Amino acid sequence: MTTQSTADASATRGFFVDMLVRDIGVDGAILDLIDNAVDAAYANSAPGGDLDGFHIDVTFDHERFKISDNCGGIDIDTARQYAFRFGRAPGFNPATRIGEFGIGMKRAVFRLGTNFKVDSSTTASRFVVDVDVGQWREQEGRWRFPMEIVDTPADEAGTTVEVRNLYEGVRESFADDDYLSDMLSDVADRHGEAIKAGLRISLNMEPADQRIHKLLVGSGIQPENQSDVLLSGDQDVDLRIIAGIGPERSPVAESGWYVYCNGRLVLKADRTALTGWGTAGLLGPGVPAWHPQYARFRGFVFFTSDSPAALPWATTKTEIDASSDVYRNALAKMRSVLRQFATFTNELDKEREQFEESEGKTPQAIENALNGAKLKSVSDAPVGRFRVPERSEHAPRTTQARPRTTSIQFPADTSRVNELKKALRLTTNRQIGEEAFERLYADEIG
Amino acid sequence: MPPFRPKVDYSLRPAKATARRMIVEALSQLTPLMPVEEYRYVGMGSTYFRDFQLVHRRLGICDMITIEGDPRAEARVRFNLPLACIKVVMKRTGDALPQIGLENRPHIIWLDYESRVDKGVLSDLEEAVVRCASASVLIVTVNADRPPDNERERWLSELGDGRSDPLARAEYAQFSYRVIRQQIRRALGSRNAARPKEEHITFHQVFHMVYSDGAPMLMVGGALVAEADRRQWDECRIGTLEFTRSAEESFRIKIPRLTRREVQHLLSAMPDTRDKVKHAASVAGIPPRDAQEFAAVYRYAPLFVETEDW
Repeated sequence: MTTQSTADASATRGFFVDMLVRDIGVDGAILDLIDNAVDAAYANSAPGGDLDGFHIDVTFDHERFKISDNCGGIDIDTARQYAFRFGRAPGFNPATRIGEFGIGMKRAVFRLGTNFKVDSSTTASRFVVDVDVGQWREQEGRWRFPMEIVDTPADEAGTTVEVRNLYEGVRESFADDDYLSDMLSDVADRHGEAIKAGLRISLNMEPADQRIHKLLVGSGIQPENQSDVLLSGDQDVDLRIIAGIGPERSPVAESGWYVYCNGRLVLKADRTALTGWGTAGLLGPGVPAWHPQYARFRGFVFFTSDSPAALPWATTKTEIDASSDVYRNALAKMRSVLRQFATFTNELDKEREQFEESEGKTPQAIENALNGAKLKSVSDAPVGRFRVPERSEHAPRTTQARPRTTSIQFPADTSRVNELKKALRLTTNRQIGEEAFERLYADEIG
Repeated sequence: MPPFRPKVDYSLRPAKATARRMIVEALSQLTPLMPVEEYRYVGMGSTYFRDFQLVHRRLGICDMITIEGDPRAEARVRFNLPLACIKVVMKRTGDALPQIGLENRPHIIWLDYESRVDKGVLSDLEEAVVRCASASVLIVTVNADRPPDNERERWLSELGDGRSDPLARAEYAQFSYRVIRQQIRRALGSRNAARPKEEHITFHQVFHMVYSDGAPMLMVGGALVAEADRRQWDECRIGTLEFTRSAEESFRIKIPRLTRREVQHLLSAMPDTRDKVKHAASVAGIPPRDAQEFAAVYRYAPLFVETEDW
């Protein structure tokens, strides 16, 4: 005989919070919050995605972290039913470009400190959620945050998230001298597209400027610029791959692949097997590992989709999901681009070798193209396959360099020619002719 | 630098010559897929260009590229060009393939290596498989002999992921075959990932030959056909040719040593019904196995005749 009963399997709040923040770093948490704000800016922008007028300001010190934006705010219904849920609630499908998994904001604030406050205002309403996480995690019963409805909306629609009682590790990070500049550079890379569209993002009052990557174009040099439409389930994912030769004497650390999902940088200057370099494991052999001779390689991969879940990124959105079909397809194309780039460097090496061996007599078709081409912004790269001029094995014909000549022939009495040869100690008729010409020229022309 | 000398005299390799003729015979049936003369042929002609001549003569293909990786060979390669329509690309295959517009139209690519399958070969395969337009044909020939003891370990480790050492010498052809097929499968996996069904490319293996004119050689080849072109491919009916093989079992080319008189005698019993050839063989005292081998290749094997002078 059996009796049906149940065992309590619900998570404790404390356990859940600890699990939730386990996989995310301080930077990741902050970038998540910025992502949300960028999403909101796009969602509230005019069609075409002009973000002029939107701004996101982040400040942090040893006491608190704060991010405020004017990107539209969260309305009260959304806040009540969805915004503070852990995970995406059924029926909620906002038009976001980046946010997908419904955990970013909560995970971020839990990661940074023990008290957080969200103050958000639309043009019509305003609310404040203020939570002491230390207390909240000890409570039992349904999971709710207290929410205070404010009667009058703020002057500007937007959201401010503030975290106090920062954890020790977080404070240490913020105290690091390089933290701000590293973070500025990360944010600039990650949201370069949005910044280009007019969004202003500042960290401790310093603006994150869009970094403009440039590639050589012209003089026979064509960057790779190909596109494709891939399928993830039934969702389209647009793929564009642009790659080529970057500026001379730029930092080696900038070499590699940059992978973007909906405009957000997910992989930066990658030079590992993840982007096709080297011979490791599953990716198959035959593409060389990154080496300083490839220092000028720059590759940019843009995945874009109306459905963020269709993009090849992991839940943290800071990592690529290398096992996704979309990424596998792109990777095969990237490897082909790398082979072409390797060929180019091989050919350039050969050309330089030939040039040295011949003491400067062989042509330098590739070198000249490198010098003659112009650096252009990645977004201006013309569509086509990567191409550089062919190396030539041969020295140029010297006839072109030689002055133009013509021949003069005339008959002369043999015995008199022989007399002249003897007198001038010359041996051939040709020498006599040349001597005659030079003397006449000196006399008449000078 | 020592001068370039071809490693073998291709004109004197009967098994290879037979394989070549079989390939061209099979290619001549591609027309339902695409008129065969409209293909571009990419090969490694060295200084002999036997395959190029055959492909041009028999199939009418005029757009041809030969890849030559040995820079010392250039003068002799150019001197020996037998036709005006062959373009020479002086690069290693790994450097040459990425620069050929494989995706723009169907190609017939014969990667005719003398070396064993290695990293470079697998990379070339990936490049071709990932980029080739549908209806392209990809053929690869590699040396299938066992590497010398001092190289074997490195060779195996280069092929990656803990492959075990094949034991008997004869197993190396099968081993190399599997490595090649796995690489094609892997590359197709990437290519087809996230693509709509009708664009999915399948490798329809047609050739799996093993032959030897000295070193044992393996040849694997087939067509890369998109789902949308599948019906036209089926109409080619290349698989009905007796020397084609679509799976792990290989077709062995063996050219028995027979005198001209014996050959003429056996030919009079062709096409074969088993007993006729057997009977003819026994009349002439030819070993029955040699007669069978001859029956399998007689339509393609070349006749070499010694001439007195150059």
